[in-house]
Amino acid sequence: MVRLALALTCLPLVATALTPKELSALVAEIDDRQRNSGDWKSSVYIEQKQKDKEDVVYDSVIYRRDATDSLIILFVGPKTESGKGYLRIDKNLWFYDPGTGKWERRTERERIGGTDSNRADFDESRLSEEYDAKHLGDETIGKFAVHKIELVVKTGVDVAYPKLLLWVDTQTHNILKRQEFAASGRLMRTSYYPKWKRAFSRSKGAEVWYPEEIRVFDELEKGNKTTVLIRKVDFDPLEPNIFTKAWLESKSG
Amino acid sequence: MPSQEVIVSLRDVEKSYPLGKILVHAVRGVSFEIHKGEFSALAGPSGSGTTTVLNMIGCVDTPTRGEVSVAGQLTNGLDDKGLTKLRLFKVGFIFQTFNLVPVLTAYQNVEFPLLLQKNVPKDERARRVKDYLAKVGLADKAAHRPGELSGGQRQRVAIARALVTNPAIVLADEPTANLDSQTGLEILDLMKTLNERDGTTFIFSTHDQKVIERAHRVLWLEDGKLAERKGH
Amino acid sequence: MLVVIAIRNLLASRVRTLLVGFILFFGAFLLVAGNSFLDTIDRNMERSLVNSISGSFQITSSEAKDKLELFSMDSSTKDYGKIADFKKVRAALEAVPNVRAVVPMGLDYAVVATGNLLDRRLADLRNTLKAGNTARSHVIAAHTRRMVETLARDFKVGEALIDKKRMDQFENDKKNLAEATTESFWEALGTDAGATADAGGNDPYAALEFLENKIARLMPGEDLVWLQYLGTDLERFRENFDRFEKVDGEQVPAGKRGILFNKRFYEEQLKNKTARRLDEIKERLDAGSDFDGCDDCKEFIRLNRGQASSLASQLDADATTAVVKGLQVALNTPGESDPETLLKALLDMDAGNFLERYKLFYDVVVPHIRLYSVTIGDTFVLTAFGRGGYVRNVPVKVYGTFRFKGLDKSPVAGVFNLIDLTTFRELYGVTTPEKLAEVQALKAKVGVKDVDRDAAEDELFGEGAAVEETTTSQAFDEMAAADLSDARRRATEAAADRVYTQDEIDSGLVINAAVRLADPDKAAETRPALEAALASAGLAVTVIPWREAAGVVGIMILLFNVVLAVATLIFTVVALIIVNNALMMSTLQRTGEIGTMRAIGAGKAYVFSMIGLEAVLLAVVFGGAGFGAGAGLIAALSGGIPAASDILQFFAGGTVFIPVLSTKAIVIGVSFIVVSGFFSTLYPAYVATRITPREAMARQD
Repeated sequence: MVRLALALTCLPLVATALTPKELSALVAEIDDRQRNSGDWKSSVYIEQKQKDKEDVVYDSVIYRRDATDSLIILFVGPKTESGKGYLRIDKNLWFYDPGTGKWERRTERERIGGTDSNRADFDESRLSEEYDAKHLGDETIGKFAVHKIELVVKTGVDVAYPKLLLWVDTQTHNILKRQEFAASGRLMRTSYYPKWKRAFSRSKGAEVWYPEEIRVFDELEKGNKTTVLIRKVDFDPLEPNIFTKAWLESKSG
Repeated sequence: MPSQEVIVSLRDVEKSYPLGKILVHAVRGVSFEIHKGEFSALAGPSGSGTTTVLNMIGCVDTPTRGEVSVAGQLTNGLDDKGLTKLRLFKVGFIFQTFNLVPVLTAYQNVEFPLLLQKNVPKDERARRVKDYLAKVGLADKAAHRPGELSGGQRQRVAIARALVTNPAIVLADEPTANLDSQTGLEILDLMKTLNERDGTTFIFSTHDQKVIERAHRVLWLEDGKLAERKGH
Repeated sequence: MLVVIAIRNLLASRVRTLLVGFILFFGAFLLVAGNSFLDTIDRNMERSLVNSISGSFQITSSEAKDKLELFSMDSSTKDYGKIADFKKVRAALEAVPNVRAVVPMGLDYAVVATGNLLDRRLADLRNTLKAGNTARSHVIAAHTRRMVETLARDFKVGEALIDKKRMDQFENDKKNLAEATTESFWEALGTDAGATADAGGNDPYAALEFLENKIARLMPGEDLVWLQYLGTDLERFRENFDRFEKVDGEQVPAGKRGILFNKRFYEEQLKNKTARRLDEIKERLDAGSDFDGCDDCKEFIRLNRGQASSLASQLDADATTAVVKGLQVALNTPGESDPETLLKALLDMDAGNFLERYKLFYDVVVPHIRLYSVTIGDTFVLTAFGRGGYVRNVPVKVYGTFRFKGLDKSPVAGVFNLIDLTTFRELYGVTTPEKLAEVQALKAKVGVKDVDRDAAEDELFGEGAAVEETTTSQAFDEMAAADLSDARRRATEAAADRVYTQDEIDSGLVINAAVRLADPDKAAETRPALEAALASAGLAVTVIPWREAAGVVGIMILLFNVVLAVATLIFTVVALIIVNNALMMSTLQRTGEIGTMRAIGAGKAYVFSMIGLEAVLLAVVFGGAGFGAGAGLIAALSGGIPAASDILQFFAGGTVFIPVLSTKAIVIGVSFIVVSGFFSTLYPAYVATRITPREAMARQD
């Protein structure tokens, strides 16, 4: 609550130089806006274009409970992928395939369904928890003025990318562009967030922001790209025991 | 004594050969005849053409002009094969440096020309080789190689080799030059004996006085031409 | 007489004769023996490859973008095209005379994620709970508890090393571990499977999930294993490749799905690392290395010593008792009852006790541990990144291991496992027309506009871009579109383990195929017939001779041949020159002698023969002796040379290398003798004939 108030007051204060306090507040705000205190369910479409290969598409559902850091990505279509899914609890990422009936442990770097998207793209934003921020200056993207912020992972934290660059709209505080780097410093992905949606969440008592569209460009295999569309969201509470292996198994009979 | 039969005949013989860009006239018109059984010498200072004339008589070379006839055979038109055949059957050679085949025994050296002739049966060959080795007094040295023989002995083998084919003529090119005077005399006497006994024609090319003294005839050559005869 | 002269002349100049003779002898010997060796190697390699996997010919689609390379380590990025219907190709080619069989193939790779030890145990536990197998789940739970206790102990040890910044996480983990070692926790887990959370009783599944999510990830994980495989008709493969040999387990039953691990792969990648390291030391010792001089051995021992606790944690109660008892006796430490200490002592090996302890390890410890991360008889999941883009997970059963006789130790020949064609096709992931249509429909429904990378910023954030919009939360039925029939079908099919008919196996996709000939030596003649058969059947398939398809290996073999040919040529030329020079010198030295002979009446032919004969005698005598020596050496080695290392075994086509006197070697040997012996004399002899009798006359001493 306090953080929310702070965030709201910070909104109109857009100066080109950010003080450290302003910076950490900004990052915290980014996290907070995307968080829902209750549950969340969304219908997500993922489309991956790969060089020399056919397109890969998924019709999927995302279930989230930010309070407990839990996440499920369940594939619903196409038919051959139906029933497969990921379950994340307590920093474990599990993958399930009903065709084999087996669970496999995966890492943070897992390419979701073989696409350029990562678990973090669908999950809570925990930037202030996982990274240290530094303001690198201001730029423009298209017609928007943005803060350029560098994020370096805190020691001992396991994330997909140890270093990030964010371009945050100075007016709206939405992330417009994001670049992710491997430990070696190599640029791995560039993502754009051209459409943000905000919806009121009763449990939160405030609005929740989410990116309706994420455009991910693979910087290692140029020509590969993934588009994520979050089409519908539902903030109603989910079944209490949804975030278990048993639940996911039951979905595919 | 020499008979009437002409065994070697030269008529207006000339021989020239190129030496770089110059044409050397070694022999400029020489004519003479040698009769069977003669023991004759060709003598002359070096460069006078004695070697050249001897080569032509020996069918080693042919004249540029004129005619050379050996044992009734004209050499002019013969090719290498023809000349070689003529030499093989009609000419015997004795060299200043003996020129024996070092890896063959005395016996084998003497036998060599007979093998080249090809149509001499084994017994005949053996008989003749032994005969001539005996004639030159080396019957007991038959198995020795030239390396084991003295200069005089080697020359004797050479003589036997030269004679074993019963050639029409025997050419001896300075045969005593590499022998001491004593041995040289012995060799000469041997050849003289063979000449008188068997009637073999010997033609020498020499500067040696001892040869000239024993010769029936001496043909002097100067500048490629015959000079006046000198008999004794 | 000519012979006499020739011989005596040779004897007369002994040094020259011996020098030339030596060259001829050595040359002949080297070429005969060397060529025989290399021809044998060549033939072994050919047989190894042709009879193990390549066949006399390989065939691929004519649309392949890359040239087929059977032993390439880099098959991941290669496009070898597809042959859509193998049945047609097989029919067309097997009708060609001299074709014995056409065996379908496909090379690809996948990943095996075996997970860490605790993960696997917990997966077992989950399965036994689901199946209601109470007795078994009690046993596994007990074992799991021991593993967790060991983990907790190790964890404490790490406490001193923890970075202050990670303290929070560390404290959390420590707390979880503490809970997981309490009695009550394990009571909950040991409850009968029937209880659920709703019943209010203790919930084993909750405890299980606790372990899986909070505890298991603390275990040091195992690496992903990359597995290269050849999909084929296993039955026909076995029938047609005589180098194929089963090692462990059994053959995949006819028509069934399954995998056979390559024995070398199995040992090197899937075996318990401690055992593997011990094997490696043993191999080195067997090959003749000395323990103390072997740095690798010392390193392996060091690494092994650190594995004592990990090994100990693999032992359940009964196993522990057995191992402790066995080791107490063997190590003569009856007082020690801690398995970890005993194992540590056992693994601390040196030159003196290695062999004894190696045996001990296998006798006492191995029966109680999981020696291979995938056991024969297990079913495990292969994850392939299909060409179609989607990831494929296919379960497959392991029936046994195999090897290719003569190739098992070669790093050259690639290490691939054999898998049935049906599983291969599933892993390959060809997109069916139905799926393609489905994907297109999905895409069309959503209608994502394609944005180019370079124009992205302008297009997405340029004029007219509205980045933020308000919307509302809405309920929806997420499972409406879900059709899980496919998943169920796959699950049932995999479980069904049915027999596939020959027709089913043949009808469908393959990548390439091997053509086995009745008479492999007639390969060159058969090729046009194969190509004609394919053309008249209208099949766009290319025929590739095995050497070309062998990739790296084929090139290596070719290189060998080229190097050998060049060496032979050089040697012959050198010999020719040397012999020629020697004879020339001899001739020139004998100018006088030769001139004399000519003067006496020897013809040119005679003189030519005289010089020539010397060379001929040298060639025949010394060259012949060299030839004989070379052949003799080959004969002497007919018992074989043991092939110790990997590469040598590949050359040997087995464990013993038996060189054979090849026709080619004989021909080369004779040619060498003829060329360097006879030909070399031509010029000197000719020069001899040019010597005139005048030379004899001109001598002035």
